Amino acid sequence: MSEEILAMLSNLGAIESSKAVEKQVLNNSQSLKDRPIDEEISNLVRTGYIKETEGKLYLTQAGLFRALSRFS
Amino acid sequence: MATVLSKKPSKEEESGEIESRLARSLPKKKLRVLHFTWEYPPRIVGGIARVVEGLSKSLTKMGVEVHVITAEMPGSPKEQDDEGVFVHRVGIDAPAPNFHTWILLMNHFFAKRAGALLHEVGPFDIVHVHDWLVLPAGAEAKFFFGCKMVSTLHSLEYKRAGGVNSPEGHMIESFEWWITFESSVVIVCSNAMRGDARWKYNIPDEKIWVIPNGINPNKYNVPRPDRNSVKSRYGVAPSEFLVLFVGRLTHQKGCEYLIRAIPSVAKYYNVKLVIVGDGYMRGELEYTANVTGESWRMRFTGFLSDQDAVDLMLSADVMVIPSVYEPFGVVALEGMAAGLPIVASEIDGLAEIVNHEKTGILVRPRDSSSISWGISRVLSDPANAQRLVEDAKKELRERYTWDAVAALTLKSYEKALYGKLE
Repeated sequence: MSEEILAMLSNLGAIESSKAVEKQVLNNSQSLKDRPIDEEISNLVRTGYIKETEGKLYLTQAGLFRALSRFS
Repeated sequence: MATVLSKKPSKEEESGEIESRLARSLPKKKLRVLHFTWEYPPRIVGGIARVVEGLSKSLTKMGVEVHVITAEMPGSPKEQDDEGVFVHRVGIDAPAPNFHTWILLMNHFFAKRAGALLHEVGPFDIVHVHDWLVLPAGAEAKFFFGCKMVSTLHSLEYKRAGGVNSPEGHMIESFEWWITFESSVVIVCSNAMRGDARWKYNIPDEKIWVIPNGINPNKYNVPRPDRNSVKSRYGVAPSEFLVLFVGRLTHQKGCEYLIRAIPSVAKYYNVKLVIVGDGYMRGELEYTANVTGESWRMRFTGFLSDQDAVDLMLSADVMVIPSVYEPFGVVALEGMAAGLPIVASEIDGLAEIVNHEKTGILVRPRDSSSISWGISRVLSDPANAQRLVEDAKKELRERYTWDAVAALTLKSYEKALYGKLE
Protein backbone atom coordinates (compact mmCIF):
# COMPACT_ATOMS: atom_id res chain seq x y z
CA MET A 1 0.00 0.00 0.00
CA SER A 2 2.91 2.36 0.62
CA GLU A 3 3.77 2.31 -3.09
CA GLU A 4 0.20 3.28 -3.93
CA ILE A 5 0.32 6.20 -1.52
CA LEU A 6 3.60 7.45 -2.97
CA ALA A 7 2.30 7.03 -6.52
CA MET A 8 -0.91 8.88 -5.69
CA LEU A 9 0.97 11.85 -4.23
CA SER A 10 3.25 11.95 -7.27
CA ASN A 11 0.29 11.86 -9.67
CA LEU A 12 -1.37 14.64 -7.74
CA GLY A 13 1.77 16.75 -8.08
CA ALA A 14 2.33 16.91 -4.32
CA ILE A 15 6.09 17.35 -4.55
CA GLU A 16 6.58 20.44 -2.38
CA SER A 17 4.84 22.05 0.57
CA SER A 18 2.92 24.54 -1.58
CA LYS A 19 1.41 21.61 -3.50
CA ALA A 20 0.64 19.39 -0.49
CA VAL A 21 -2.72 17.61 -0.51
CA GLU A 22 -5.09 16.72 2.29
CA LYS A 23 -5.07 13.18 3.61
CA GLN A 24 -8.77 13.01 2.81
CA VAL A 25 -7.99 13.15 -0.93
CA LEU A 26 -6.06 9.88 -0.58
CA ASN A 27 -8.85 8.37 1.53
CA ASN A 28 -11.31 9.16 -1.23
CA SER A 29 -9.27 7.78 -4.08
CA GLN A 30 -10.55 4.61 -5.66
CA SER A 31 -7.49 2.46 -4.97
CA LEU A 32 -7.10 3.51 -1.33
CA LYS A 33 -10.75 3.91 -0.37
CA ASP A 34 -11.72 2.20 2.91
CA ARG A 35 -8.16 1.07 3.56
CA PRO A 36 -6.33 1.89 6.80
CA ILE A 37 -3.74 4.28 5.42
CA ASP A 38 -2.91 6.26 8.57
CA GLU A 39 -0.31 3.84 9.89
CA GLU A 40 1.25 3.49 6.45
CA ILE A 41 1.49 7.25 6.12
CA SER A 42 3.13 7.51 9.54
CA ASN A 43 5.70 4.93 8.43
CA LEU A 44 6.41 6.83 5.24
CA VAL A 45 6.81 10.07 7.18
CA ARG A 46 9.11 8.34 9.68
CA THR A 47 11.28 6.83 6.94
CA GLY A 48 11.60 10.15 5.10
CA TYR A 49 9.50 9.56 2.01
CA ILE A 50 6.65 11.92 2.92
CA LYS A 51 6.40 15.18 4.83
CA GLU A 52 3.30 16.24 6.67
CA THR A 53 2.46 19.88 7.22
CA GLU A 54 -0.76 21.22 8.73
CA GLY A 55 -2.57 17.98 7.97
CA LYS A 56 -1.42 17.97 4.36
CA LEU A 57 1.05 15.61 2.72
CA TYR A 58 3.75 15.92 0.08
CA LEU A 59 6.63 13.81 -1.20
CA THR A 60 10.25 14.35 -0.31
CA GLN A 61 12.86 13.92 -3.05
CA ALA A 62 13.38 10.30 -1.95
CA GLY A 63 9.62 9.74 -2.04
CA LEU A 64 9.33 11.18 -5.54
CA PHE A 65 12.16 9.04 -6.92
CA ARG A 66 10.76 5.91 -5.29
CA ALA A 67 7.30 6.66 -6.71
CA LEU A 68 8.70 7.05 -10.22
CA SER A 69 11.17 4.14 -10.03
CA ARG A 70 8.79 1.74 -11.75
CA PHE A 71 8.63 3.76 -14.94
CA SER A 72 12.21 4.59 -15.88
CA MET B 1 33.38 29.05 -38.42
CA ALA B 2 30.60 28.95 -35.87
CA THR B 3 29.25 25.63 -36.93
CA VAL B 4 28.52 22.46 -35.09
CA LEU B 5 31.89 21.11 -36.01
CA SER B 6 34.12 24.01 -35.18
CA LYS B 7 35.48 23.22 -31.73
CA LYS B 8 37.82 20.71 -30.13
CA PRO B 9 37.95 18.10 -32.90
CA SER B 10 37.19 14.55 -31.90
CA LYS B 11 38.95 11.54 -33.39
CA GLU B 12 36.26 11.26 -36.06
CA GLU B 13 36.46 14.93 -36.90
CA GLU B 14 40.22 14.80 -37.21
CA SER B 15 39.89 11.96 -39.65
CA GLY B 16 37.43 14.05 -41.66
CA GLU B 17 34.67 11.53 -41.12
CA ILE B 18 32.16 14.13 -40.03
CA GLU B 19 33.28 16.81 -42.46
CA SER B 20 30.20 16.60 -44.55
CA ARG B 21 27.21 18.25 -46.05
CA LEU B 22 25.95 19.35 -42.63
CA ALA B 23 29.10 21.32 -41.93
CA ARG B 24 29.14 22.91 -45.36
CA SER B 25 25.49 23.81 -45.54
CA LEU B 26 25.27 25.51 -42.18
CA PRO B 27 28.43 27.63 -42.19
CA LYS B 28 26.97 30.56 -40.31
CA LYS B 29 24.16 29.00 -38.40
CA LYS B 30 24.40 26.88 -35.30
CA LEU B 31 22.54 23.62 -35.36
CA ARG B 32 19.73 23.97 -32.84
CA VAL B 33 18.50 20.88 -31.01
CA LEU B 34 15.66 20.52 -28.51
CA HIS B 35 15.72 17.51 -26.17
CA PHE B 36 12.61 16.26 -24.41
CA THR B 37 13.22 14.22 -21.28
CA TRP B 38 11.26 13.63 -18.10
CA GLU B 39 14.43 13.63 -16.01
CA TYR B 40 17.50 15.86 -15.98
CA PRO B 41 19.82 16.34 -13.00
CA PRO B 42 19.15 16.81 -10.17
CA ARG B 43 15.93 14.95 -11.05
CA ILE B 44 17.49 11.50 -11.51
CA VAL B 45 15.00 8.66 -11.67
CA GLY B 46 16.99 6.26 -13.84
CA GLY B 47 19.77 6.49 -16.40
CA ILE B 48 18.14 8.93 -18.83
CA ALA B 49 19.02 12.03 -16.81
CA ARG B 50 22.76 11.37 -16.96
CA VAL B 51 22.63 10.45 -20.64
CA VAL B 52 20.85 13.67 -21.64
CA GLU B 53 23.17 15.73 -19.44
CA GLY B 54 26.40 14.20 -20.76
CA LEU B 55 25.29 14.22 -24.39
CA SER B 56 23.94 17.79 -24.24
CA LYS B 57 27.08 19.22 -22.66
CA SER B 58 29.33 17.56 -25.24
CA LEU B 59 27.11 18.67 -28.13
CA THR B 60 27.30 22.20 -26.74
CA LYS B 61 31.12 22.00 -26.71
CA MET B 62 30.93 21.03 -30.40
CA GLY B 63 29.03 24.22 -31.16
CA VAL B 64 25.45 22.93 -31.16
CA GLU B 65 22.83 25.08 -29.45
CA VAL B 66 21.13 22.65 -27.09
CA HIS B 67 17.89 23.20 -25.19
CA VAL B 68 16.33 20.68 -22.82
CA ILE B 69 12.68 20.62 -21.79
CA THR B 70 12.19 18.57 -18.65
CA ALA B 71 9.99 18.22 -15.57
CA GLU B 72 10.30 20.53 -12.60
CA MET B 73 12.30 19.64 -9.51
CA PRO B 74 11.75 21.41 -6.20
CA GLY B 75 14.78 23.54 -5.40
CA SER B 76 16.01 23.72 -9.02
CA PRO B 77 15.62 26.82 -11.19
CA LYS B 78 12.89 26.78 -13.81
CA GLU B 79 15.30 28.24 -16.37
CA GLN B 80 19.01 27.40 -16.19
CA ASP B 81 22.16 27.75 -18.27
CA ASP B 82 23.88 24.49 -17.33
CA GLU B 83 27.40 24.82 -18.81
CA GLY B 84 25.92 26.15 -22.05
CA VAL B 85 22.89 23.84 -22.11
CA PHE B 86 19.62 25.77 -21.84
CA VAL B 87 17.43 23.82 -19.41
CA HIS B 88 13.73 24.63 -19.22
CA ARG B 89 12.06 22.94 -16.21
CA VAL B 90 8.33 22.79 -16.60
CA GLY B 91 5.75 22.63 -13.82
CA ILE B 92 3.04 20.02 -14.25
CA ASP B 93 0.36 22.28 -12.87
CA ALA B 94 -2.58 19.90 -12.84
CA PRO B 95 -3.21 16.88 -10.65
CA ALA B 96 -3.92 13.53 -12.28
CA PRO B 97 -5.78 10.48 -11.01
CA ASN B 98 -3.12 8.05 -12.26
CA PHE B 99 0.40 7.92 -13.69
CA HIS B 100 -0.53 7.58 -17.35
CA THR B 101 -2.85 10.57 -17.23
CA TRP B 102 -0.08 12.48 -15.46
CA ILE B 103 2.28 11.62 -18.31
CA LEU B 104 -0.18 13.01 -20.86
CA LEU B 105 -0.53 16.20 -18.80
CA MET B 106 3.25 16.48 -18.55
CA ASN B 107 3.44 16.21 -22.34
CA HIS B 108 0.84 18.96 -22.69
CA PHE B 109 2.93 21.32 -20.55
CA PHE B 110 6.13 20.31 -22.36
CA ALA B 111 4.54 21.04 -25.75
CA LYS B 112 3.30 24.37 -24.44
CA ARG B 113 6.86 25.30 -23.37
CA ALA B 114 8.19 24.23 -26.77
CA GLY B 115 5.59 26.48 -28.42
CA ALA B 116 6.76 29.38 -26.27
CA LEU B 117 10.38 28.66 -27.28
CA LEU B 118 9.37 29.05 -30.91
CA HIS B 119 8.57 32.69 -30.12
CA GLU B 120 11.51 33.21 -27.74
CA VAL B 121 14.39 31.71 -29.73
CA GLY B 122 12.90 30.56 -33.05
CA PRO B 123 12.52 27.10 -34.56
CA PHE B 124 14.74 24.10 -34.00
CA ASP B 125 16.45 21.86 -36.56
CA ILE B 126 16.02 18.65 -34.56
CA VAL B 127 13.79 17.53 -31.72
CA HIS B 128 15.36 14.66 -29.81
CA VAL B 129 12.93 12.55 -27.79
CA HIS B 130 14.07 10.30 -24.93
CA ASP B 131 11.72 7.33 -24.48
CA TRP B 132 7.95 6.94 -24.70
CA LEU B 133 7.37 9.22 -21.73
CA VAL B 134 7.81 12.38 -23.82
CA LEU B 135 6.77 11.16 -27.25
CA PRO B 136 3.51 13.19 -27.63
CA ALA B 137 5.23 16.52 -26.88
CA GLY B 138 8.14 15.65 -29.17
CA ALA B 139 5.88 14.64 -32.03
CA GLU B 140 3.85 17.86 -31.68
CA ALA B 141 7.02 19.94 -31.64
CA LYS B 142 8.28 18.19 -34.74
CA PHE B 143 5.22 19.38 -36.64
CA PHE B 144 5.02 22.91 -35.36
CA PHE B 145 8.75 23.51 -35.83
CA GLY B 146 8.58 21.75 -39.20
CA CYS B 147 11.76 19.87 -38.29
CA LYS B 148 13.07 16.32 -38.02
CA MET B 149 12.74 14.07 -35.02
CA VAL B 150 15.45 11.81 -33.62
CA SER B 151 14.66 9.54 -30.71
CA THR B 152 16.54 7.43 -28.23
CA LEU B 153 14.84 4.27 -26.99
CA HIS B 154 16.53 3.73 -23.64
CA SER B 155 14.66 0.50 -22.90
CA LEU B 156 11.60 -1.42 -24.04
CA GLU B 157 8.45 -2.00 -22.03
CA TYR B 158 8.03 -5.69 -22.82
CA LYS B 159 11.43 -6.45 -21.31
CA ARG B 160 11.36 -3.81 -18.57
CA ALA B 161 8.03 -5.05 -17.22
CA GLY B 162 8.75 -8.71 -17.91
CA GLY B 163 5.91 -8.86 -20.46
CA VAL B 164 3.05 -6.61 -21.47
CA ASN B 165 -0.14 -7.75 -19.81
CA SER B 166 -1.93 -4.59 -18.81
CA PRO B 167 -3.78 -1.72 -20.51
CA GLU B 168 -1.00 0.62 -19.33
CA GLY B 169 1.64 -1.63 -20.87
CA HIS B 170 -0.22 -1.62 -24.18
CA MET B 171 -0.34 2.16 -24.09
CA ILE B 172 3.41 2.31 -23.53
CA GLU B 173 4.08 -0.14 -26.35
CA SER B 174 1.93 1.87 -28.73
CA PHE B 175 3.94 4.97 -27.80
CA GLU B 176 7.17 3.07 -28.43
CA TRP B 177 5.96 2.10 -31.90
CA TRP B 178 4.80 5.67 -32.47
CA ILE B 179 8.31 6.95 -31.64
CA THR B 180 9.83 4.70 -34.27
CA PHE B 181 7.22 5.88 -36.80
CA GLU B 182 7.74 9.61 -36.22
CA SER B 183 11.54 9.51 -35.98
CA SER B 184 13.92 9.86 -38.87
CA VAL B 185 16.57 8.12 -36.77
CA VAL B 186 16.05 5.83 -33.79
CA ILE B 187 19.05 5.57 -31.49
CA VAL B 188 19.56 2.57 -29.22
CA CYS B 189 22.44 2.02 -26.83
CA SER B 190 23.52 -1.55 -27.64
CA ASN B 191 23.35 -4.24 -30.29
CA ALA B 192 21.12 -6.27 -28.00
CA MET B 193 18.68 -3.39 -27.80
CA ARG B 194 18.86 -2.97 -31.56
CA GLY B 195 17.84 -6.59 -32.04
CA ASP B 196 14.98 -6.29 -29.54
CA ALA B 197 13.68 -3.04 -31.07
CA ARG B 198 13.87 -4.32 -34.64
CA TRP B 199 12.13 -7.55 -33.68
CA LYS B 200 9.39 -5.76 -31.77
CA TYR B 201 8.69 -2.81 -34.08
CA ASN B 202 10.06 -3.81 -37.50
CA ILE B 203 12.30 -0.76 -37.63
CA PRO B 204 14.14 -0.54 -40.96
CA ASP B 205 17.82 -1.32 -40.59
CA GLU B 206 18.96 2.04 -41.97
CA LYS B 207 16.81 3.93 -39.47
CA ILE B 208 18.21 2.42 -36.31
CA TRP B 209 21.60 3.50 -34.94
CA VAL B 210 23.58 1.92 -32.13
CA ILE B 211 25.26 4.66 -30.11
CA PRO B 212 26.49 3.66 -26.66
CA ASN B 213 26.02 5.77 -23.58
CA GLY B 214 29.03 7.53 -22.15
CA ILE B 215 30.49 8.65 -18.91
CA ASN B 216 32.41 11.55 -17.45
CA PRO B 217 35.49 9.81 -15.98
CA ASN B 218 36.70 13.06 -14.40
CA LYS B 219 34.03 12.62 -11.78
CA TYR B 220 36.14 9.78 -10.38
CA ASN B 221 39.55 11.40 -10.85
CA VAL B 222 39.45 12.91 -7.40
CA PRO B 223 41.63 12.30 -4.36
CA ARG B 224 40.65 8.94 -2.90
CA PRO B 225 38.70 9.27 0.32
CA ASP B 226 39.90 7.48 3.42
CA ARG B 227 38.52 4.01 2.64
CA ASN B 228 38.19 2.85 6.21
CA SER B 229 36.33 5.95 7.20
CA VAL B 230 33.89 5.60 4.27
CA LYS B 231 33.41 1.89 5.02
CA SER B 232 32.73 2.56 8.67
CA ARG B 233 29.96 5.03 7.71
CA TYR B 234 28.08 2.04 6.31
CA GLY B 235 28.94 -0.40 9.06
CA VAL B 236 31.76 -2.13 7.19
CA ALA B 237 34.90 -2.85 9.21
CA PRO B 238 38.38 -2.30 7.65
CA SER B 239 38.94 -6.07 7.55
CA GLU B 240 35.65 -6.74 5.73
CA PHE B 241 35.20 -6.75 1.97
CA LEU B 242 32.66 -4.22 0.71
CA VAL B 243 30.43 -5.59 -2.07
CA LEU B 244 28.54 -2.75 -3.73
CA PHE B 245 25.22 -2.59 -5.59
CA VAL B 246 24.08 0.70 -7.10
CA GLY B 247 20.73 0.95 -8.85
CA ARG B 248 16.98 1.27 -8.63
CA LEU B 249 15.36 -1.37 -6.46
CA THR B 250 13.13 -2.71 -9.20
CA HIS B 251 12.48 -6.08 -10.79
CA GLN B 252 14.78 -5.43 -13.72
CA LYS B 253 17.85 -4.79 -11.55
CA GLY B 254 17.80 -8.31 -10.06
CA CYS B 255 19.05 -7.27 -6.62
CA GLU B 256 17.30 -10.22 -4.96
CA TYR B 257 19.70 -12.64 -6.69
CA LEU B 258 22.66 -10.76 -5.26
CA ILE B 259 21.16 -10.75 -1.76
CA ARG B 260 20.68 -14.51 -1.97
CA ALA B 261 24.30 -14.93 -3.11
CA ILE B 262 25.80 -13.26 -0.05
CA PRO B 263 25.49 -16.19 2.43
CA SER B 264 27.53 -18.47 0.15
CA VAL B 265 30.21 -15.85 -0.41
CA ALA B 266 30.30 -15.28 3.35
CA LYS B 267 31.32 -18.90 3.92
CA TYR B 268 34.76 -18.03 2.53
CA TYR B 269 35.09 -14.24 2.74
CA ASN B 270 34.17 -11.73 5.39
CA VAL B 271 31.86 -9.57 3.25
CA LYS B 272 29.26 -6.90 3.69
CA LEU B 273 26.84 -5.82 0.97
CA VAL B 274 25.91 -2.15 0.62
CA ILE B 275 22.82 -1.53 -1.49
CA VAL B 276 22.61 2.03 -2.82
CA GLY B 277 19.33 3.16 -4.36
CA ASP B 278 15.65 2.93 -3.79
CA GLY B 279 12.53 1.79 -5.55
CA TYR B 280 9.20 0.08 -5.27
CA MET B 281 10.78 -3.27 -4.36
CA ARG B 282 12.68 -2.03 -1.32
CA GLY B 283 10.31 -3.59 1.23
CA GLU B 284 10.39 -6.93 -0.58
CA LEU B 285 14.18 -6.88 -0.79
CA GLU B 286 14.56 -6.07 2.89
CA TYR B 287 12.33 -9.07 3.58
CA THR B 288 14.49 -11.26 1.30
CA ALA B 289 17.59 -10.09 3.18
CA ASN B 290 15.97 -11.10 6.47
CA VAL B 291 15.06 -14.53 5.11
CA THR B 292 18.71 -15.27 4.30
CA GLY B 293 19.49 -15.02 8.01
CA GLU B 294 22.45 -12.83 7.12
CA SER B 295 20.73 -9.46 6.91
CA TRP B 296 23.31 -8.08 9.34
CA ARG B 297 25.75 -8.27 6.42
CA MET B 298 23.53 -6.04 4.27
CA ARG B 299 22.86 -2.32 4.47
CA PHE B 300 20.20 -0.45 2.45
CA THR B 301 21.22 3.19 2.13
CA GLY B 302 18.36 4.56 0.02
CA PHE B 303 19.25 7.31 -2.45
CA LEU B 304 22.65 8.90 -1.81
CA SER B 305 24.09 12.19 -2.92
CA ASP B 306 26.47 12.06 -5.87
CA GLN B 307 29.41 12.69 -3.56
CA ASP B 308 28.49 9.88 -1.17
CA ALA B 309 27.95 7.45 -4.05
CA VAL B 310 31.33 8.34 -5.58
CA ASP B 311 33.04 7.94 -2.19
CA LEU B 312 31.50 4.48 -1.85
CA MET B 313 32.58 3.45 -5.35
CA LEU B 314 36.12 4.60 -4.61
CA SER B 315 36.12 2.58 -1.37
CA ALA B 316 34.41 -0.69 -2.34
CA ASP B 317 36.12 -3.96 -3.29
CA VAL B 318 33.76 -5.15 -6.00
CA MET B 319 30.64 -3.89 -7.77
CA VAL B 320 27.93 -6.36 -8.70
CA ILE B 321 25.32 -5.67 -11.41
CA PRO B 322 22.88 -8.61 -11.24
CA SER B 323 20.32 -7.18 -13.70
CA VAL B 324 17.79 -9.39 -15.44
CA TYR B 325 17.29 -6.74 -18.14
CA GLU B 326 19.81 -4.06 -18.95
CA PRO B 327 19.77 -2.39 -22.38
CA PHE B 328 23.09 -0.76 -21.53
CA GLY B 329 24.12 -0.49 -17.89
CA VAL B 330 25.88 2.83 -17.42
CA VAL B 331 26.52 1.88 -13.80
CA ALA B 332 29.10 -0.60 -15.11
CA LEU B 333 30.99 2.28 -16.73
CA GLU B 334 30.79 4.25 -13.48
CA GLY B 335 32.21 1.32 -11.53
CA MET B 336 35.00 0.87 -14.08
CA ALA B 337 35.85 4.58 -13.94
CA ALA B 338 36.06 4.36 -10.15
CA GLY B 339 38.52 1.48 -10.49
CA LEU B 340 36.17 -1.23 -9.24
CA PRO B 341 36.25 -4.80 -10.53
CA ILE B 342 32.84 -5.52 -12.07
CA VAL B 343 30.74 -8.68 -11.72
CA ALA B 344 27.77 -8.42 -14.09
CA SER B 345 24.97 -10.52 -15.55
CA GLU B 346 25.72 -11.86 -19.00
CA ILE B 347 22.71 -10.20 -20.49
CA ASP B 348 21.72 -7.62 -23.13
CA GLY B 349 23.92 -4.52 -23.27
CA LEU B 350 25.86 -5.44 -20.14
CA ALA B 351 27.42 -8.37 -21.96
CA GLU B 352 28.63 -5.92 -24.62
CA ILE B 353 30.23 -3.57 -22.10
CA VAL B 354 31.84 -6.20 -19.89
CA ASN B 355 34.22 -8.53 -21.63
CA HIS B 356 34.49 -11.72 -19.54
CA GLU B 357 37.85 -12.11 -17.81
CA LYS B 358 39.13 -9.05 -19.68
CA THR B 359 37.24 -6.04 -18.34
CA GLY B 360 35.13 -7.79 -15.71
CA ILE B 361 33.47 -11.05 -14.75
CA LEU B 362 30.23 -12.17 -16.39
CA VAL B 363 27.83 -14.42 -14.50
CA ARG B 364 24.57 -16.13 -15.34
CA PRO B 365 21.52 -13.89 -14.84
CA ARG B 366 18.95 -14.89 -12.18
CA ASP B 367 21.51 -17.26 -10.68
CA SER B 368 22.74 -16.58 -7.15
CA SER B 369 25.31 -19.39 -7.26
CA SER B 370 26.86 -17.91 -10.36
CA ILE B 371 26.92 -14.43 -8.77
CA SER B 372 28.52 -15.93 -5.69
CA TRP B 373 31.18 -17.53 -7.90
CA GLY B 374 31.80 -14.21 -9.67
CA ILE B 375 32.32 -12.30 -6.42
CA SER B 376 34.66 -15.01 -5.12
CA ARG B 377 36.57 -14.96 -8.40
CA VAL B 378 37.35 -11.27 -7.83
CA LEU B 379 38.09 -11.49 -4.11
CA SER B 380 40.27 -14.59 -4.42
CA ASP B 381 42.72 -13.09 -6.91
CA PRO B 382 43.52 -9.41 -6.26
CA ALA B 383 46.18 -9.32 -9.00
CA ASN B 384 43.71 -10.54 -11.60
CA ALA B 385 41.10 -8.09 -10.29
CA GLN B 386 43.59 -5.23 -10.73
CA ARG B 387 44.27 -6.34 -14.31
CA LEU B 388 40.53 -6.31 -15.03
CA VAL B 389 40.33 -2.77 -13.65
CA GLU B 390 43.22 -1.52 -15.80
CA ASP B 391 41.82 -3.07 -18.99
CA ALA B 392 38.37 -1.68 -18.23
CA LYS B 393 39.75 1.83 -17.78
CA LYS B 394 41.54 1.58 -21.12
CA GLU B 395 38.31 0.51 -22.82
CA LEU B 396 36.46 3.39 -21.17
CA ARG B 397 38.88 5.96 -22.53
CA GLU B 398 38.64 4.51 -26.03
CA ARG B 399 34.92 3.91 -26.42
CA TYR B 400 32.74 5.59 -23.85
CA THR B 401 33.60 9.29 -23.61
CA TRP B 402 30.74 11.73 -24.07
CA ASP B 403 32.66 13.47 -26.86
CA ALA B 404 32.74 10.22 -28.86
CA VAL B 405 29.04 9.66 -28.17
CA ALA B 406 28.19 13.23 -29.19
CA ALA B 407 30.17 12.94 -32.43
CA LEU B 408 28.16 9.87 -33.41
CA THR B 409 24.92 11.54 -32.37
CA LEU B 410 25.80 14.52 -34.55
CA LYS B 411 26.14 12.14 -37.48
CA SER B 412 22.70 10.76 -36.74
CA TYR B 413 21.31 14.32 -36.85
CA GLU B 414 22.95 14.72 -40.23
CA LYS B 415 21.25 11.54 -41.39
CA ALA B 416 17.91 12.82 -40.11
CA LEU B 417 18.34 16.17 -41.85
CA TYR B 418 19.66 14.99 -45.20
CA GLY B 419 18.53 11.40 -45.49
CA LYS B 420 21.97 9.95 -46.06
CA LEU B 421 25.58 10.38 -45.08
CA GLU B 422 28.20 11.23 -47.61
